[in-house]
Amino acid sequence: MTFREDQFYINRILQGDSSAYAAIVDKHKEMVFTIAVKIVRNQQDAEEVAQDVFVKAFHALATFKGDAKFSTWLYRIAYNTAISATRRKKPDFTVIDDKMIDNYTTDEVIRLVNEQSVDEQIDAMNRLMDKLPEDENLLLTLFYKKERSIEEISGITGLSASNVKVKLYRIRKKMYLDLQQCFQIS
Amino acid sequence: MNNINTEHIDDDFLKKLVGQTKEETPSADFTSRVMACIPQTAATPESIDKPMVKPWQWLLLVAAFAGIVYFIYSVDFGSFFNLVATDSPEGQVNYLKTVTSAMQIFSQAFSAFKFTNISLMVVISLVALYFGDRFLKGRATEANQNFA
Repeated sequence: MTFREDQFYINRILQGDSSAYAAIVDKHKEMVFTIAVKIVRNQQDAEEVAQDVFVKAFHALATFKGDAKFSTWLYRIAYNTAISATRRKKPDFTVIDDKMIDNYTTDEVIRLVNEQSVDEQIDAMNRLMDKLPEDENLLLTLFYKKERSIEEISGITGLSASNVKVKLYRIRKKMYLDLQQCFQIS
Repeated sequence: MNNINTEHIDDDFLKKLVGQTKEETPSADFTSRVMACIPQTAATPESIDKPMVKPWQWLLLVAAFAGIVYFIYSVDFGSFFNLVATDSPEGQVNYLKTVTSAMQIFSQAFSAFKFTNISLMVVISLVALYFGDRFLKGRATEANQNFA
């Protein structure tokens, strides 16, 4: 399904045609749901959070000034709503021991992983990502799976761009270590 | 911002692995459930802040009020009521006189306003523009709904 620019639908909604909001929901529901499910870690709760996000965004649409991209504005609402739904403060990122995770070479891990079947790789990645803290899982997904830019991730999470980069660098290292341990032990 | 250096985190292998993981998708009826919570007509973001009486309606109300006040002050109601109250055998004639004098009073009250051909054309044009605008807006809304 092809969509027009967000601003086209926003203008129609602000002119009183609220049915145009269905296109906005269709266009962004997967991303909003992904953010929600990474934070709340439960499909059913994530659906409720995502629904809440879209209702909130609709009522706040008149306050959207267009300074940032609409998608970033919407995903920021999703991130904050999901964080609020978990009823705790924004989590601190896990401190990673750099000495420990430097005990491998990237090429070794890549070779080890490539020796496994695709199903085993997928299964391992799903398990390892589920074990990650919510924010790390979200950052990993946004950058490597959804291929969002650093500045967009910064806009969504409220972290500075340099902070996002540092965290992604550490998460990447951690993933390599986990992959190494996962396949060596198995 | 677009030229942020991502050299140390760009990783095609990790991108491939993460890309293979399960897709997170909401249920099939997600959009319809959201839309069920969205006000469909009155409570759109714009209409929430809309005044109930539009500025041009206020102008119309003020003009109507001024017209009524002008009418009341310019008409000699005393002679009118005296004529109606007269109890004579020619009751039916009196009734006709009453209606005629009421019409005269009304026309006298607004005799100060002269409608030239040009002003009449302007009034007719404004009325035509107003209804034309309403018609086109209605067509546009209908077309948008069909598109959606």
